Amino acid sequence: MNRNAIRARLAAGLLALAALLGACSYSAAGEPADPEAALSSDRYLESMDTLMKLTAYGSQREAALDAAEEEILRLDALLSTGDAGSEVSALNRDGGGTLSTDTLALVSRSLELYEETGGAFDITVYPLMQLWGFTDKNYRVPTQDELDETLAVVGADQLALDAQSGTLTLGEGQAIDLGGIAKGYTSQRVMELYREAGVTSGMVSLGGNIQCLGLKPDGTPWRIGIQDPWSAEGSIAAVVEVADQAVVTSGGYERYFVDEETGITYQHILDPATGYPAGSGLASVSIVSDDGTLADGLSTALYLLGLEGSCDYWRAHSSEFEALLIDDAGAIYVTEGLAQSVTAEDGFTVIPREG
Amino acid sequence: MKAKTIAQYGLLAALALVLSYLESLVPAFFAVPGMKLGLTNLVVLLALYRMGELPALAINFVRIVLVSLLFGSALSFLFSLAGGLLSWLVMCLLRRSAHFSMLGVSMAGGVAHNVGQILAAMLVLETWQVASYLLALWVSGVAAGLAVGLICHEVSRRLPDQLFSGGGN
Amino acid sequence: MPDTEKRRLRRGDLLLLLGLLAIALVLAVLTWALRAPGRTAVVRVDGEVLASFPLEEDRTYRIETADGGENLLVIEDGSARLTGANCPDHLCVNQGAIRYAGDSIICLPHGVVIEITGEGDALDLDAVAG
Repeated sequence: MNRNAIRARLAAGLLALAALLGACSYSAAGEPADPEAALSSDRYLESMDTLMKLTAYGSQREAALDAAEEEILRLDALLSTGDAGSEVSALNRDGGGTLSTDTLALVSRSLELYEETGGAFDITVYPLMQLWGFTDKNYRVPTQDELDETLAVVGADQLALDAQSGTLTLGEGQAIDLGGIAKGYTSQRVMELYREAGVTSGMVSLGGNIQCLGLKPDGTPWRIGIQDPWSAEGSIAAVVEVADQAVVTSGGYERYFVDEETGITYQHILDPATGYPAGSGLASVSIVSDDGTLADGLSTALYLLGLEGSCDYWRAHSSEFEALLIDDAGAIYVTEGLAQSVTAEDGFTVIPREG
Repeated sequence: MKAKTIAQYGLLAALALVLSYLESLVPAFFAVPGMKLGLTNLVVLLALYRMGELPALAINFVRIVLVSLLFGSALSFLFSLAGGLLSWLVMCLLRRSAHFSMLGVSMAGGVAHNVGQILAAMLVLETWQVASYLLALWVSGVAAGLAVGLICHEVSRRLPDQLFSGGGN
Repeated sequence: MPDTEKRRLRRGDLLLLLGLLAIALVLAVLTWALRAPGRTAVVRVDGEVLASFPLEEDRTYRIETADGGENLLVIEDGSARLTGANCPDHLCVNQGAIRYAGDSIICLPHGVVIEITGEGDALDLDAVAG
């Protein structure tokens, strides 16, 4: 063989070697990288009485968003109290009935939370909400008699749920609203749908109820701002970095009215025991958890429990969630497990696991 | 295209793949996703001196596309493209001047490669924030350029003429 | 054809290297001069965040570690420093006051780190919960 032939073979051999190396690292790297991993699509929709934004990354994102949108609309039709044709409306009208899968799951969870929070989370407060006008924006301050009368039908202990047959019976005059837990349940479902579609990075904001899947495509966690309850729209009190978690904030500032005559502010988070807006000393409660349903339910429950009550509750359940609380003075408190992921320009106090 | 030319490009492409594998072992290069050290510039430099400017541009494209497909993302493709083009341009210009040897050309190429990446990142990510990495990337560009230049000089010296004859200008 | 005239180094190379390094120096000076002023002092013990305070409010805070270590954090006039430490070397106290984003004071024996974070760090959000 002449030297050129040798060299040609040498070149071919090197090429083969490189191809082999390339193939090895290709398989060593596991999944072939999704070429669209860094590309995202957003979907906006109005549902559950609020504006929602769905975001998904990767080549499966369109399919995932389609599935998510469909599920959100389906759940809204099921649970909306404003829609006379929804399952919940029918239950309230008929004093009970047989529950569909999702509604059964939500009601069961609600009753569990009712027990665990000592009655702070209560889905039977709907008549109370209606009395104050929070449901149709016809705000009014009810009389004590009206309150006493309505309080008689408030109390999830008056509900009878037969898990076997899936039937729920309401107490006389009762009405339920799953709104305090519905969005969290929905965002949890959306995460499942994302996963099923093959999406590994995405986020949803259901009117402020946030839930994130995985990390962002660049490997960093999602940065979620916590609204400053005391200032104008848009100001941020703190930033939380999360991955595979839901962030749900509740605060009186979200919905309230001011009585023209007295100038007193009445906010929408009502205490099921007294019937009055909760005056617990907290301005907002943000729950961070990998369980969206829990995060949603606890955000209002802990608001009612106040700072001390929330700390006690968290210490008893610290493996299930973390919390960021802002009191009426604007001071921020963060549970120990979350402290590493929070930045707040005005600083914060850490709530330790041991009281 | 002659079989020999195909083999030449193939050889260089293979070398580029090996180098980019090595490059990918350096994790989260300065925390900007998609940024590369620029070791594969060696292949472009080699082609530039042994085959000519246009062949060097061609191998440049080949390595950018191949590497992005195998080891990178859509983002790293854009950064590599910007960095690679700017780097090739600068290296061609400097090589034409008698004042610079392969080392100088490679140094300038290394810096240009990173500057191109940062400019692309600022455009794509729509933020000035990336500019804060400029110092670190500038220095690493010089260092990588020096290393690549030294290695390329030694490699090129030892590669026989026949390997590259029959191609380029 | 390989360029046999190619010497290892030419005059242009050296000038280029010096020029590039000079620019690097300018970039370094710019980076130092444009440092972000600090907003918050974050207190960490053994890596765990214990508390964080705004620099604009004067205060003192006693840091106590599990094994009896004590450091006193003093925030005054927009800067933070450690005084009154019972560590053997007092290097943390001698580090003086810090005020710019990224600055830090470390008490190695106690595992205490005080770090200043700046304004820009809070921005760039993916969503707002509310």
